[in-house]
Amino acid sequence: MSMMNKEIHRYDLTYIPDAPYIVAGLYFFKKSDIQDLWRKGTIVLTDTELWLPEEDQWNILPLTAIEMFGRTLPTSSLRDVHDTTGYTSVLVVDYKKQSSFGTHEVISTILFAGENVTIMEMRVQLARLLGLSRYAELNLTEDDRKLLYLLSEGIKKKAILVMVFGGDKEKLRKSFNNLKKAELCTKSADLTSKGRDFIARLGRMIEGELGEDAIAPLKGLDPGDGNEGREAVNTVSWSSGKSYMVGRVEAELLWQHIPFPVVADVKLSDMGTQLRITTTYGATIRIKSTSPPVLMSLFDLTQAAREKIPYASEPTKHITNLLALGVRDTTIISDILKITESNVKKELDQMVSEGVVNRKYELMADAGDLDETD
Amino acid sequence: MRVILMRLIDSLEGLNRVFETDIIESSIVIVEGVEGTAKSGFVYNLLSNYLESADKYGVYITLEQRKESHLANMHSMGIPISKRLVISDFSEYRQKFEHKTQDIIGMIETNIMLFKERAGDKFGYFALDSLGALYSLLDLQETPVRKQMYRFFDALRQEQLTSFIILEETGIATPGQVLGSEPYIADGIIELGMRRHGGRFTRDLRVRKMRAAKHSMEPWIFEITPSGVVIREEATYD
Repeated sequence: MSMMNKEIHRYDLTYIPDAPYIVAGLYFFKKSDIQDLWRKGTIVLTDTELWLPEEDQWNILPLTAIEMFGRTLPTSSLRDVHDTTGYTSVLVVDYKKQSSFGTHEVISTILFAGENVTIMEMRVQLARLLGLSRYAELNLTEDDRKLLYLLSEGIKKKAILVMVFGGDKEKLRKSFNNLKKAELCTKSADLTSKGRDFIARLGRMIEGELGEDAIAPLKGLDPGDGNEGREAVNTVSWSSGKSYMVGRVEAELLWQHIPFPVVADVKLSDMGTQLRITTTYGATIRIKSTSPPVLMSLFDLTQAAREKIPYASEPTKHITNLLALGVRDTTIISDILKITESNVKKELDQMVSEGVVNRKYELMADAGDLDETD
Repeated sequence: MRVILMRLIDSLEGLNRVFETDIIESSIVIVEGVEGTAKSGFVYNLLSNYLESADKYGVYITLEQRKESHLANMHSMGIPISKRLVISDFSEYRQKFEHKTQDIIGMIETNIMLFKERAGDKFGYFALDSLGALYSLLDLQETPVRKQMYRFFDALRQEQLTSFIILEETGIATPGQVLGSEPYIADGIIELGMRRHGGRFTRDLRVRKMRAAKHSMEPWIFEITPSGVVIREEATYD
C-alpha cells in the first residue's frame, strides 16, 4: 500500500485547538486573551483523523473521538469570534479525551473559523466521514429525519409541517414525539446539541430529497424568530442600456416593480440577499432586502410567472407568498394571482382555520407551536 | 573539487571501524537491546549527526516517551539536539485517545507523508521508538501482526526512507517475536548489550546482519561521553 493513496483534505483555517467544552460561549476567556488562543494553519483531514499543525509537528484527533460537530454558538460568542478573527463562519467540534490522570473522559472543543466556503467544505467532508452510524440505534424513520431537518431550518409551524407531511397530523405527531424521545429536539421544537450534530452528519442529504426549491417557500411561510418585529429594508434598482433608476420600496409594494408577464429570468444571488430579474426586453431589475423571506416569496411568485404556471394551480402557496410580503387586501391578491376574490377568501378562511394566519390575515409568527401535538 | 559525501557510518566516532561499507539507503534497521543499553541515544545521535552534516531531514517518532523527556535524556547524554530530526510525539496522543485508536500504522504513514510534503526530497530518514509500543497499539483481532508489519515496512521502503526501528528486549516475547517476522523483513539488525568486561559493566554493539554492507560480526564496546556515543574497541569476552 502506498502512503500517497490516502484520502487527504486540506483547509486553511484559524482555530482554537483545545478549549474547554464551550457550553455558553467564550465568556470565560478574557476578551484580550481570546486573540492569543487562535492559531492559523493548514488543517489536514484524512478518513480517520484530523491533523492540526502545532509548531514543527501535529496534534492528532481520531475521528472516532468526535462526539458532536456543527453545534451552534450563541450570538455573543460569534461576535467574539468575528472581533478576534474577522470571520463569521465557524465550525464547532466537540471530542472526548482521557483526563490528564487518565481516570475519566472529558469533553473538549475545537473551534474553527474561516472563509465560509472553506468551513462549508470541511463540514461536508466531516459529515461524509463521520456518517450516522452512531445514531443507528435510534431507528429514526425517513419522516423523523425530514422533520428534524425542517426544524433545523427554522420551519416549526405546525400548519406548515402538516402540509409537508401530506396533511397527516398523526404522522407529524409521531415523528415529533420520536425526536423528543431521542433527545434530538426539545418540547418547543428547538434542536438539542445532539440534534445539531445529527443534522451536521446528515449533510445535505435531506435537502436533496426534499428539493432545494421546497425549502425556500417553506421558509417564506415561516419567517421564524429572527425576523419578528423587524421592518425589512428593500431597495429596487432598474437598468436598461444607459438608463438607471434606484429607490427604497416598502415590502408590500415590491410586487408592483416586477413586470410579471415579461420576465425572462430570475435568480436569487449573494447568499439569498438579492433577487435579479431580467426581462424579455433586456432590462435588469435588482431587488435587495434585509429579509430573506421577502425575497424568497418574490422569487417564488416571479418564477411561477416566468414558467407560465397559473397561480391558481397552487393558490395557498402563492397567497401565503403575498401575505409574507404584507399584501393582505383580497382584491389586490385576486388581481395579482388571477384568482376570483371569492376563492381567495375561501383559501384565507381555510388558512385561518388551520392556524397559518390570524383573522387579520397576518402570518402567525410564533414558532414552536408543534408542542400542541403532545 | 571532489565532494566527499558523508556516510551514516561516519556519523558516530568509531562506527566506521565496525562497518567497512555504509548502510545503504532505504534500509530498515532494527536496533534491539535490553533496558539501559542506550538504544534511543544511539539512534538519535547517529541520525542527528548525519542529518546535520548531510543537509537532510528525518522524523523520530516516540510512542512512549514525551518529547520533552526524550530531549532532556539526549541532553544528559551529551547528544546534540538537531532541528533536522523532528521529534513526533505520539505519547500524548496515546494518553488521550489510546482506546479510540484504530489504525496506528496508518497514522504513522500520514505523519511521514506530511513531513515529506514539508521537507521534500531532503526528507529521507525515519526512526520509531519503539516497536514494542507499536505492537501494544495494534488491533490484533483485525489483521495478524505479521501482515501489519509487512505493510508497515513495505510502506517505509516505498517511501525510500532509511529507517531505524527500536526494539526493547524484555525477556517476554512480543506478538511479533512469537511469529519471528522481524529478522526476515528487516535489512539489518544491530544488537546493543551490557556485559561485564575487565571487571566492570560496559555497553557493546554487535551487527547481527546488514544487507549489502561489509561489517564486523564481533561485539564492540561503546561509551556515552560528554560529546555523545563513541565506539571504542572490539570486545574480547571470555
